[in-house]
Amino acid sequence: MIGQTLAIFVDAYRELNSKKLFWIVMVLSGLVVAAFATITLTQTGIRFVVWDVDTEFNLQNIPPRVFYYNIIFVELGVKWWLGFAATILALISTAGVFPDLVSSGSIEAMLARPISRTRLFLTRYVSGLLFVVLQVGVFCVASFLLIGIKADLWDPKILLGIPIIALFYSYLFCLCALIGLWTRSTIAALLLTILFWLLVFAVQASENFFFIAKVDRDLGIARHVVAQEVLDKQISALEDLSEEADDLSITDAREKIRRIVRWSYGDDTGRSAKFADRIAARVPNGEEIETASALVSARLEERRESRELLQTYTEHAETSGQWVVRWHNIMHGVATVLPKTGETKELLNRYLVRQEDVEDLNEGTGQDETGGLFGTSRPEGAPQLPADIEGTRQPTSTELSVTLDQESRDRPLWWIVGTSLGFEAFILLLASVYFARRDF
Amino acid sequence: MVADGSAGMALQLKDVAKVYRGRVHALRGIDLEVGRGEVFGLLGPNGAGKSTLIKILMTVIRPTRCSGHMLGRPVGDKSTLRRVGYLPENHKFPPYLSGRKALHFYGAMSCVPRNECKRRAEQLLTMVGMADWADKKIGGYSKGMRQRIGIAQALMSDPDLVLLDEPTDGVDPGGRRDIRNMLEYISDQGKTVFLNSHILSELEQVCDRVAILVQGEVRQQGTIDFLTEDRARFEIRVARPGGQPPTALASALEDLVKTGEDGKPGLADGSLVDIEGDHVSVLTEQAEAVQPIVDSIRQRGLLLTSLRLARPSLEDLFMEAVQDPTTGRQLGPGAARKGKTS
Repeated sequence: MIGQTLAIFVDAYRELNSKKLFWIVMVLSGLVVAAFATITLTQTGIRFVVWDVDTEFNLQNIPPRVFYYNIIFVELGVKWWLGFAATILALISTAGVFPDLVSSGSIEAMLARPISRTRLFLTRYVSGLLFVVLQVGVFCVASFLLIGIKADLWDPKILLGIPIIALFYSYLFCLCALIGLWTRSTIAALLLTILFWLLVFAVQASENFFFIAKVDRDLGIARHVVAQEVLDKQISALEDLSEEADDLSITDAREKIRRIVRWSYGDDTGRSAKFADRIAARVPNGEEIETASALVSARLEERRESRELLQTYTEHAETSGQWVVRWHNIMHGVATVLPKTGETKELLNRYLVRQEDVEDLNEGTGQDETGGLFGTSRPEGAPQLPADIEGTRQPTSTELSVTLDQESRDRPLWWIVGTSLGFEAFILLLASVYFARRDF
Repeated sequence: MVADGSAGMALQLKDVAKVYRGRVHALRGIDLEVGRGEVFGLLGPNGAGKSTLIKILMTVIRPTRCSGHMLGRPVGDKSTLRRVGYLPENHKFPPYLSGRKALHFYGAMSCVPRNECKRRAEQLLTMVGMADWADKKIGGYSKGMRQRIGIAQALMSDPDLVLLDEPTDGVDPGGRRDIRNMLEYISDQGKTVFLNSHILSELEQVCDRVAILVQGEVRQQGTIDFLTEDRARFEIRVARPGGQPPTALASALEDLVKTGEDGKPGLADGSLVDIEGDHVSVLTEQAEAVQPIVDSIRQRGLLLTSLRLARPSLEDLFMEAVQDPTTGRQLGPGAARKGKTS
């Protein structure tokens, strides 16, 4: 039994060895790693061999770990080379595995052996992944050594690239095997698999698009909720203050209002202090206020109006953004049953790059408000909220990036790998039943 | 242990049928027996179902109906295949493997231990005359070389039963002779050989028993002697000197040949007679039976030009089997379709 399995693996290696494309991809992998070796960070940009390329970004802020693992290894090496170019070359090389196996004259000699069809199919399937395992193995080991020597970063987690990319490739290869068995055509297996990959990409891109919009919307609503809580605290405190306002001088009343505002924001510096001064000093409708009770009443009235207005803003944001949530749910459902090709590759980022590094990287890169990806939360015709109310502000690009990174890291492993393996198991079940029951 | 009554039989098939998509009857209930140590030949025209039958035995095709045993185990039992060697028709062995590595690979697939694999491969490469080509890639082999490697791979597990599907297909006469010698060698080692071929002379030379398969049915089976036993006949040819009429031979035999109860002409001992012009054929092996005919021919003044005892060849049996008994026409190739019987 072990002899048969070993024989199939050795045969798969010999088949690979006989293919020029296998060695071409191997050489190209070597060249990609060699190209990485020539990239160095400089004061103003990056140096490629001896050529300096200036960039508008301050690359010196990028931690070496992020630069080498995130940008060089994961983004360029894994996502673009292994996860895209080398994957297409691997599919070209391995799309013929099953059409060749079931071709007339070849399959008879294999089936007429003391081995069950299911085991023959599954062993041949796993041995077909050998191409990718060998290619990725060489690439990851070379990258591990390169980054270790160049940046003194010796993280064996980089070798997780081997199972992760093999896993990603297996999502596509299982379908390639099914189509190859069914059509007996290498070209059909290759083209339909690439088409499926594009479909998965489109679904993931749509899901991601609606996910970003949903996160942006949720961040906006969360801000409204926080602002409501702040206003509630202010209103409650001002109500208490109004009972003792008759006994206060106007100066004392202003000071107390300033304290209430600072207390309601939960901090005593920066924006809240500024707002506190502005709120305390504000003169409504240009009228001069002479008594403390009038000042407190005016502030209380103003806060209540704002609270009501904010409520309409929140309700509007929740209602008008419903379609984003609905579409995200639909695309998320579709993505759940499909293999997570992109997110599986992203797992490397999760394991190699620390979240705090990414937060450092994002710090100060985008303080502009997103402006609300699908419009503001202000209902049509509604008046503007006072500028001091934090909830009126949309999240910034940085906040959005950090939240998205966090959300992406928080996506459970079972959802990314488990559902993908579920898809693969289902396809392999179909293929093995078809293989076991078919006459050749 | 065999407890099914198939002891002594390498192959015992009952009612093997294969229907494709409910319409095409590739096999219509095959009953067949092959004794251990026999060389058995299955012949038939293209599309008769020969390869389908072998593929069912080798689990390549799933039968619609099948009850029977191969080497004492039910047909379809995978573990039996350790003891069975198979050469598929029009095989395509991996072109990137050398002959030697292909033998190692197929040996391992048949569960032959590694060391035994190596030993057997060297032995078989010599036997099939491929020792000098053993390290060359199969992709560069001629058809004859591929067949030799194919036979060698079928023998890698030292099988008790060897099924060869068209082993001499596309092989030159020299190669065919070598393959015949190999078959004799395999047979001498006590192995059972099941040979599938449409080259009749080949089967005639090597087979102990044959079966003729036509449109998915076994028409005849037995030893060649048994099948030809009742078909031996004396062929007599005469010349008509002195301008005798073309009916002279029929007239000369008038008194000897009578129409029997079945309406067919025959002699008094029951031997059937067929007279056509100057040629008479008597369906008998007994020389005594034809003496009166010879006497009558001479008395009538006809000249006896030839007299021989003719036994039908396998080809004659084959042609007879593939003939439609009602129309006398040769049956077309291919499997029988639903509702159409031959």
